[in-house]
Amino acid sequence: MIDLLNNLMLGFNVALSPTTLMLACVGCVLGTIIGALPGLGPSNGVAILIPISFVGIYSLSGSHFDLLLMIGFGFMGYLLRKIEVPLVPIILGILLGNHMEVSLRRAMVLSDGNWTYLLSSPIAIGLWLAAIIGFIAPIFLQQLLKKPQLHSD
Amino acid sequence: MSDRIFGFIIAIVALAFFASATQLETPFISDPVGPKLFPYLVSLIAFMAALLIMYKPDDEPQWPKLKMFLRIIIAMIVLVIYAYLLRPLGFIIPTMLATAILSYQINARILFSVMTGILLAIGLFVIFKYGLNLGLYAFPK
Repeated sequence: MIDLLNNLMLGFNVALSPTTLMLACVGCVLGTIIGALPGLGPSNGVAILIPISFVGIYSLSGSHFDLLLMIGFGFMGYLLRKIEVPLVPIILGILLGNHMEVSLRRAMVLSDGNWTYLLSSPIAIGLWLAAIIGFIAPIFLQQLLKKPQLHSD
Repeated sequence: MSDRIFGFIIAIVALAFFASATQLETPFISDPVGPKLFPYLVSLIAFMAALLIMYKPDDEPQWPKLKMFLRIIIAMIVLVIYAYLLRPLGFIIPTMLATAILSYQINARILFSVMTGILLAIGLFVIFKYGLNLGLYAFPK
């Protein structure tokens, strides 16, 4: 009981330290400003966001090419959304693809090219099963599950 | 039809990826797998997925009308010009023009869009330059 109270007091101690309070104030101000952005209407919102994104990239690299890349990818994203290509697999592929290749090659180095190494531990087998079930199950559960809501634009 | 075209493009990209992966050179001291295998796997799976999309396309999506497409194209052209003008003309003038044109495209009120452009350009410049200390030029040097 005493321990619990002590821990609780420690928590308050951290929560009420000057840095945290300052951060809370900054967060409140920023949150209000950002929360007011949609109230400006779509024209102002878009008009604010475009220079911000441009300047963000331009001040990092200082080249036109990155800005053109951004415009091109934006248009590509619009087309992909229109033909209803899901967004999450693309992001996962971009983020995890490199890790997949590096890990596969590292595993092959560790096992000296023996492919059964990928199935050698219970954790690995469990993960394989989960992945396979997750891949196959939606095909059969399509009737039972509701279709996920599409983005509206 | 849109899905078929999409699948066709993906198939060609996958084939090009496969072809470029064959050009990768295996270094003298390498791991047992080498650099080629993973690109082969990815391009094969992408190719099969593309064939599947071409074989079983979804319903035709609702493409916007020609007028809407024109507006998107105009917006893209404005953005490209904006990207090229940012260095020679400084920050304020191109931002003013771009935001005014885009704002006019969304709601067609001339005075409102011009005011939006002017106020936004100056306000954002002040924030970026003095608030965030980014190295921007207001006007051409």
